[in-house]
Amino acid sequence: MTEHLPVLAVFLPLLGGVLQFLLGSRGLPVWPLAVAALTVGCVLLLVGAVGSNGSIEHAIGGWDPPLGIRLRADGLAAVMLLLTAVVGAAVSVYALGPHGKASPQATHFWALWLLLWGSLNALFLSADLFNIYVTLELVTLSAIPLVLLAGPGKTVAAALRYLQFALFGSLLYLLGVAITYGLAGSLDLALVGPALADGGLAAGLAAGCLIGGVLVKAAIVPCHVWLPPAHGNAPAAVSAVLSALVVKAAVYLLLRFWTEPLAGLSGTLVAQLLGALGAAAIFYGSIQAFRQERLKLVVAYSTVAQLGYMLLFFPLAVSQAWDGAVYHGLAHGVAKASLFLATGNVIAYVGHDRLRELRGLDRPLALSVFAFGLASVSIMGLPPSGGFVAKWLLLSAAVETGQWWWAVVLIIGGLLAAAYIIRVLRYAFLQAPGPAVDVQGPVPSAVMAWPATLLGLLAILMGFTAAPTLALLGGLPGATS
Amino acid sequence: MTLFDSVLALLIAILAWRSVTAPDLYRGIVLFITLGLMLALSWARLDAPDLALAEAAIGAGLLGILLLSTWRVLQRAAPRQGSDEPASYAVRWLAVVGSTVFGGTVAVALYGLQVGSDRAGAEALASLDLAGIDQPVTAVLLNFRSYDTLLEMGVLLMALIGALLIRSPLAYEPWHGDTAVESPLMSVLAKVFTPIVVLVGIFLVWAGAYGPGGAFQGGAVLAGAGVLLLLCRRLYGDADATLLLRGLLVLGVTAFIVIGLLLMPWQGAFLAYPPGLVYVLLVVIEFSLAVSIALSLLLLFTGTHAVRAVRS
Repeated sequence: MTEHLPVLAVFLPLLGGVLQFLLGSRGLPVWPLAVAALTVGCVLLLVGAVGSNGSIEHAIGGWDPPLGIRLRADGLAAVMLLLTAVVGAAVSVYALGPHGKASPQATHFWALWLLLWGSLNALFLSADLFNIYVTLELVTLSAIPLVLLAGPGKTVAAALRYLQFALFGSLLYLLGVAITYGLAGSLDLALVGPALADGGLAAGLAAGCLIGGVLVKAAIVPCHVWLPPAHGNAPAAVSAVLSALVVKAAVYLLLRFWTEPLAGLSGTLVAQLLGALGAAAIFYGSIQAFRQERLKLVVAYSTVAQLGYMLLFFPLAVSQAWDGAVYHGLAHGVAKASLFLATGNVIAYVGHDRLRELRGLDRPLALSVFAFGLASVSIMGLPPSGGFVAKWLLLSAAVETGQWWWAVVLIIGGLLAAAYIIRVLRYAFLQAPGPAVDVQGPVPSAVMAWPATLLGLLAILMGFTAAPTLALLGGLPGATS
Repeated sequence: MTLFDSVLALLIAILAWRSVTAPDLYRGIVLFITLGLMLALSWARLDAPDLALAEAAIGAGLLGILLLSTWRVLQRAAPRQGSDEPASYAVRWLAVVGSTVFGGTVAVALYGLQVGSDRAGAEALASLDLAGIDQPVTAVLLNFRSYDTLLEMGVLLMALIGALLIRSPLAYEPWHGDTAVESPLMSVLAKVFTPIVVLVGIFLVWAGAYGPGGAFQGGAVLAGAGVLLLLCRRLYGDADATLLLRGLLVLGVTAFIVIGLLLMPWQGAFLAYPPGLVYVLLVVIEFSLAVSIALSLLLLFTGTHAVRAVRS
């Protein structure tokens, strides 16, 4: 049974999404919730099995690589699946509010969201370069229509720009896959390593295309321009998934490639360059976040910045940096989903998200603003949150390897994050003690308020759950200790 | 044949250049369609008939129709073609130099590749007996790497949902406001050509078992028959999809997944087929894929949630 779990983790949500499309509004909201619950259960079983027995593999069709495709659930895949399940469960509950049966686009939302969930699981479980290309396409092409659900005409330009960048990234990646196949005669992650390590022009080009394509998809500066309009204008539930999971999936691939197929190739120069891109993302994203006039764009630019921290793994490249980068991805995923859901509640109540006109939110939106505050603690990297643990691990790695400049980046990044977050909280709490906003929408219901709050609480709690999570992750691949 | 190949290569380069630099969108699209046909020819010259068929049917045929119908919708929605500011000279030169250097590097790298180190390909040819199908391309697509094909069907479904979300407000309705007259040619086209095109489509799907062809190529040709009927006004795009129509749209991917999951406990792996049944199952999957592909491509063309037959 255990070896079938990876297949179920992919195809429960995928088949659920397809059947949701078939059923139309008839199955709402029981069908998607049942599928979501089954998926979460299946992922928990899978993660439990990986935790107790180590990696689980499933050769699809019974064909072993290089002929066939392997699904593989190892520690890294397991923690990403777990993040997806946690955020996915919260978003599924939250979406009952804005995407309930009464909403005209409800069928499309639930079909696409379940398909996206399945696609993300497929991406994390894949151990084949071309199959990863297909799953990347699946993730992108389910994410873009979700952005379009914001309403007629609102996000078409943002979605098209997202599509253009995503397709450019895909083609670059696909070129890398083609050259790799020419070199190695195989596409399996474990088998292409030796051929890519030979150091020739073709191997270097293949590695460059693979990394470059994924960087575009991960919205790393300077390829970030598509992210803020797409994440800043999509419906709240969609923004949460996009920022917490979809871009994270691309960074996950970077970590995966660097430690497995490209392990023999990793040059210090490239590693420092990737680190520099990460630092640029942190500075640029944070400064832009500070300058935004709309709450949702602050949160979106914060994603641009926070993704940069995960790139600091490459120059540091020790066990602590590995733990720190992955844990940062998890902590940011939980915290950012909470921020976007809380922001969605603000917009639902106030009707806009112009920072200067937000005041007196603390009373009617107490729970959502509380969630925003909790998640912000993790984004700023203050103890005892998950973000603190991740940044602490990265900081220790910088000290351990004697690369003090990355420690400086980490500290300045934390200060910048505090600056843009506290600016938002100042508007929400302190700016004017007077009456709340003029036009008030309905106070968000419990289904919309609690998912954000629970995710915010989890972001803090992750300060205490690092040990079991990192034990599940299982250390830097290939490290001797 | 060297002369033919050189001319073909040169022609492809020129067509690609022209379709990018064409002064107006319409000319660019027509040149792009021609480019697709030449590419199909080049695949045929490279002894890849499956790719040639796919490129001709999808790359040149259906993609061309989609581009042209989009152009038409654009004309109607916002007749301000060419008002986009061209990029500055610096940006354009940067793009030219960047792509030339990149293309050159790729060409040099590919030229230096060792041919014949194709381990997976060699293994696929050696395991053909076990795959239950004689045609190597179909064996890879539907058996060895069937998982990729299955996920690609998901991509098609999502692309369709996305396209409908954008396009349904601008849906193209052939006869509302269209001044074209009912010409006698239309009924001949619909009556004489459609059965032939449908037959070719079904043959291509069937042929996938032993020769070039398969669900994607056959499905694209079947969609072409649908486009012909739409243009001859025997079909029209409609806003409400019936359960049956949506069922046909997801038939391919559902059949694929359900067969895989049902056989999993028995065979021990997802998408593993029992030796006695493999041929039958693959034919069932291939035809259900073709139906879904044809219908999806047709709906991408109409930009509506459904198509219906005109009652005369």
